[in-house]
Amino acid sequence: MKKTIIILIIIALISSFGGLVWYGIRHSRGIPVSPEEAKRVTLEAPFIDKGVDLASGISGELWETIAPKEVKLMYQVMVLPWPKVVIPSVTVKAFNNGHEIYFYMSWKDDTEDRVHEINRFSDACAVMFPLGKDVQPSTIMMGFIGRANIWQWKASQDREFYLKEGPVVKAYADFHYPFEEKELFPVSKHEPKSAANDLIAIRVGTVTPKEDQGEVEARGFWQDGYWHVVFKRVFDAEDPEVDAVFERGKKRLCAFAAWNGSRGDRGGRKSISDWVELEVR
Amino acid sequence: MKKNIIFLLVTGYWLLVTGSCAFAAEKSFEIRAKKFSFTPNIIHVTCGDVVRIRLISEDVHHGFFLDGYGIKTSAHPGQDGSLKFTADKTGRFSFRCAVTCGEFHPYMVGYLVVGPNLRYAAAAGSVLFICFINMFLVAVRKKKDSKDKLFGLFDMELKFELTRFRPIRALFKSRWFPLLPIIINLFIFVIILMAGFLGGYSAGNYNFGIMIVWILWWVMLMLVLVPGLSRAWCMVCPFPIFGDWFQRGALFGVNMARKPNGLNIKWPSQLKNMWVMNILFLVTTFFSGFFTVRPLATFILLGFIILLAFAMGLIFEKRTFCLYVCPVSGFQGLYSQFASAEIRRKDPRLCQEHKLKSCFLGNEKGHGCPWLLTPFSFKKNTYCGMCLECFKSCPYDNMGFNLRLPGADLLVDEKRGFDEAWKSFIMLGIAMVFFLTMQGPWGALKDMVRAKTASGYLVFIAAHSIFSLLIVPGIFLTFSWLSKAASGNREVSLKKIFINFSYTLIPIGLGVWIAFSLGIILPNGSYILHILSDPFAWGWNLFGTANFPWTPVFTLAMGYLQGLVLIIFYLFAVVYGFRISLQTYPEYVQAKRGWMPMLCLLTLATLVFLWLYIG
Repeated sequence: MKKTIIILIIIALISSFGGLVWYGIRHSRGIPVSPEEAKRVTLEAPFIDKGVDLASGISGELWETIAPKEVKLMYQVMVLPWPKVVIPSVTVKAFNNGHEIYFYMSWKDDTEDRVHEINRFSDACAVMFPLGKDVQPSTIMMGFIGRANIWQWKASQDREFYLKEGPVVKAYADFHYPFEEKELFPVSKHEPKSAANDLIAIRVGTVTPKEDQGEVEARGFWQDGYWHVVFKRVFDAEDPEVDAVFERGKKRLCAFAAWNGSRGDRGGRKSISDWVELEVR
Repeated sequence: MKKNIIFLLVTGYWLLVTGSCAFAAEKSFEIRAKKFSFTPNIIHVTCGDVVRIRLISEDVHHGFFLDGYGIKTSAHPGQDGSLKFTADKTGRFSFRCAVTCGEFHPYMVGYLVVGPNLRYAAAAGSVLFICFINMFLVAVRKKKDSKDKLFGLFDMELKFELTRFRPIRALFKSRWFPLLPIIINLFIFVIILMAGFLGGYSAGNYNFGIMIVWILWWVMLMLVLVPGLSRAWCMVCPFPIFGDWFQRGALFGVNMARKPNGLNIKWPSQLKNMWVMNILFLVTTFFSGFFTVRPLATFILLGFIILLAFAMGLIFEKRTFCLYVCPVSGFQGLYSQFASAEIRRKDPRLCQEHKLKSCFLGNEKGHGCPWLLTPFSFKKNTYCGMCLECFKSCPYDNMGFNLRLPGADLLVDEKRGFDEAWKSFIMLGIAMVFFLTMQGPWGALKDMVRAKTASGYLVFIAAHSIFSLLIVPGIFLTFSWLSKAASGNREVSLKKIFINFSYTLIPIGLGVWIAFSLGIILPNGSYILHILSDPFAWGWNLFGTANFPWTPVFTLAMGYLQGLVLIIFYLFAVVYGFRISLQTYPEYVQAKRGWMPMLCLLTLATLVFLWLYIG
């Protein structure tokens, strides 16, 4: 066989392999290919001179009059093993009546998971509002560096608060913080003041319930394979340092998240949206 | 009476090592976890202490699993984890991150030392006991003319030919074997390469390529294949098959009339040794911080080896790549001298009478030895790739596959050289560096290996090279010189002493690698169940094991096993070492005296590795 043919074969092989390696390095997980301009969904919160009494329901007829927005969800960024299921999208709506602001979230979930036990997780959803001007470009890791106010509704807490069906076990792991006698572990609340948790966070691992709970109310119903959850809060922020601020005519950012308990979602394992522009009218 | 004494000794030893402890004190530790180390990285307690551990994460979600005790906790930044337990098992136990926290996650370990570390004391005591017994026996031993026996029990020539069984011989003579296993293996490697390519930079412990190559394959190689079956891996290795097919112009049959494709150039005679393999393997280990944890790096390495094997098949004759270049081939060749299996001719007279050496030249039934060897005169396993062509081409069925005593080749005084000696040093050096960086608790070393900073990485490469290429051989040279001085012989060259005794490091090195492999497979083997079901991380669950959690196994027994392995292989090094001394020095008395410094060196080396692994 001719030497030139052998050389050509070797060059072809090396080039192909080199090309493959180059492609692999450029396109592998972990390396951004090229920055893309974010195309944000805008959610309008029109003025409607009505209110919703969550104790008696979520006023489904009222929400039907408001235009929905479909917001795509993605995996929360986690180290492996990353979640293997994602809730593809959530339908969101919002309105205000001058005194209060309301948010509606609905997403497909085949099972109604309202119980939180060992190895059994509750369905949940949340809406996050960045605080201050230092808003990060991505919603991953709860704002990552910037502060955020998070309203989280939990199906298990809803059951506890509205249906008065508490967990079988009153105290659970880490109920008492082991190093400081009788101090309650901050996330172990056993008497909820609302079906929603009013939280603040500055990055992953810093989620902290605000001292005064109950400002944010929420209620959820599961029907025909869909969750319908409504959040409610007084329009004006009590403390702008830790409460989401809404101003008429101005655009603010918010983000949504949902947990599917029966598929193992809990804690950071959830589906999240990118930033959504909220326009309060 | 004798039985009672043995019973008492064994019971006492067992109680000493595993004895329960009374309550001592209560001790609390705050352990800070940060990619990829714990601070403090080594904690000491006393047997019976009630230990409280508060785990604090300083960056991402980290876990804490304590070997031997099987307990774990985890911590997010701002949410600490806690553990409380009674340290009722003595010894050194690794605590390791239990939550995948990044690419070096499997190497994120710290040590809990529960004193007194009787396990280490017992193992070190056993080594010293063997050393003194050997010194005594050698001192009182008189030259014997009777047949040499290993441990005084087994005839050194003891062999059992497996191919005497017709089905096995038929299998070995079939052209389908080992072609079929090679093709199956090729299929597995295609998946490995795909998983490596698709896995990119993700953490390796959930990647098929990383887990199969660096956990399963490497461990099986060191633990089973090489010590048990010599170069059985080479038999089924798919890397050179493309070169073979190209050269032969056929996928299956033998066509003697056909001229081989390719240039068929001979490998330069000055490179017909292990030096290229030595350097390539050492250089490969420079990138261990990438290959063993980054799927794409594994893809690049394997792809490069396959490409090189094929390109060399186009240029050079037969399996020149396997023989002189393949980085995996070198250490297999070296350690296969200790293997319990061999391929040898059966009747030397038949080979002498058979003038047409078909095992070398080939015939219509089989190719001439692809490894360019002369199977009719095999004396060592080192370069035999077990391709089985000689079984097919021998018209007299005069090749045999034998089971034998481990280490029989160590006494074959043929083709010994500096290249094999340095292979031993390099393998020992790499084992130590790998242990320090992968199973040790020192985060700074891990940062160097994974090239956190360019300067740290260069220091690692320089230190690793100097240690493996100069310091280990330098220490060995010093003891060789002491051996020569102690022997009183001025005729035997220092070179001969140096090279001959370097073969005593083969059992030591193999033992060290087996013990190292145990420390890899037992804590991390369970990841394999996940990746088998979901090889490309696409969310598959092929065998229903995709959600099998990380489950370290036998972590309590691991230290005992590692200690036992090191002691057993030390024992082999000692018994073969004195025989090598007898080969090296012409006088029996000189061999006895010359052996003592080398015995001290082997004992010292074993004690160092014992300390590293369980001390």
